[in-house]
Amino acid sequence: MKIDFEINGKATSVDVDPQMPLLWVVRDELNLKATKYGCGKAMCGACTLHVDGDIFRSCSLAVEYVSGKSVTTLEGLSKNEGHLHPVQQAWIDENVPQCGYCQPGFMMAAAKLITVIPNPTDQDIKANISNICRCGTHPRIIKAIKRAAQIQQTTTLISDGKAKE
Amino acid sequence: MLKLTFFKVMIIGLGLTGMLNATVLVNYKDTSLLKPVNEDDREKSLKAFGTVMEVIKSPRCINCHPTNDIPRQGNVHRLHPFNVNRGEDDHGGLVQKCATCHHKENNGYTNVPGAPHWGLAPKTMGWFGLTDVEIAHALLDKSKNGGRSPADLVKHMSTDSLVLWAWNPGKGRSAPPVPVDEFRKALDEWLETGAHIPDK
Ligand code: FES
Ligand code: FES
Repeated sequence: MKIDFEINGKATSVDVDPQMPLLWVVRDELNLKATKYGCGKAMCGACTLHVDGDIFRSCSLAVEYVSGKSVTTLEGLSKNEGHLHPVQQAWIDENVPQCGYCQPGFMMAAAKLITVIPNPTDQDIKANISNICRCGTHPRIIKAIKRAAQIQQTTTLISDGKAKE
Repeated sequence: MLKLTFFKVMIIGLGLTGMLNATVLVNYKDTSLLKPVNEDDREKSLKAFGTVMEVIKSPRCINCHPTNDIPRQGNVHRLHPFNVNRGEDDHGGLVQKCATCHHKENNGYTNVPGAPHWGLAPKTMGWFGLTDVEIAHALLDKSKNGGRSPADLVKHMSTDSLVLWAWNPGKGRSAPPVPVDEFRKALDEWLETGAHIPDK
C-alpha cells in the first residue's frame, strides 16, 4: 500500500505493508539510520521519533498511522544545518554518549521535553522520560537536558531581541 | 439509599405522592430512572450483578480503572512501568502519552495492546481495590460514572470500542471470564430489576 507523509520536512512516499513498523520504514526504506532498534517491544525508547511534534516509539507504530503526517528523526532535528538544535549542542557540551546506541531516542524525547517543560528539574526529567541507557549515562543526560533548556531560552531571548548586550 | 432517592424523584415528578407503591414501574431506558426496588427481584438482580462484577473485576477492565494515577498490567495487576501516569487528561503526561506506544489496534509486531482512545478511565471511575458494594454505588452514581444514566451505562459498556477491546485483548492476554453478550444481558438485567446491591 502506498503511504504518503513528510520526513524531516520533505514529502515522501513508501509502498509497503501498512502494518510495517515506522522504525523499519525509516531505517530500511528511507535509509535514515539514526533511529535505533533496541528492544522492538516499545520498552526501551531507542526508536523514539516525532510525529506531528509528539514522541512515538516507532517500533510499535504501524506506518499507516503516519499517513499525511510529519515525521521527524534525529537527522531532521536541527532546522538549519548551520545551527545545531539546543539538544544536540548540549549533548556535545556535556559529552553525553558512551556507546551511543540509546542516544538518538533520548535526544528526541529531550527535544520534546524542553518544549513543554522549558525549565525542567531533575524530577521533571525522570518523570517524563523513561528511555533506557544500558551504559548508565543518565546523570549526564539529565545535565545535558538542563543545559539544552538553557540554550533554548537564551536562543529564544536573542531571537526576540531581548538579550543583546 | 440511592435507589430511594431515584424513587422519590420519580414519584414527585409524576405527581404520584400518596401512591407510594413498589409496584409502580418505570422503564429506566425511557426515563433514565431506575425501576423501583422490588424485593421479589432481589435474587435475580444480585445474580446479574455478580456476573457484571466478574467482568468489571477482570484484569482487562479494572487495570485501567485505578483509584490512583497509575495503570496496572497483567493478570497480577502489576503497576505499569515507565513512570506512566494519567496526566491531566487521563491520556498520559506532557511528554510520554498513552499514544506514545498504544494505538488504535493491537500491534502485531510488538504485541502492545491498542484500541481507539486508549487511556485511563477518569479517576472518579476508579474501581481498583474497591469492594463490590462500593463499585455498585460508583456505577450508579452520576458524579462517579461520567454522568451516565443507567441506559447510558448499558450503551457505554455495550458499544464503546475501548470497553469492547477487553474481548479482543491480543496474544497472551485473557479476555473477561464472561462472554460479551452475557455481560450485556446481565448488566441490563441488573438495572432492569432495580439494581439491587449486596449487603456486603
Ligand atoms: S526499540 Fe522501540 S522501544 Fe525499544
Ligand atoms: S550510551 Fe550505551 S546504551 Fe546508552
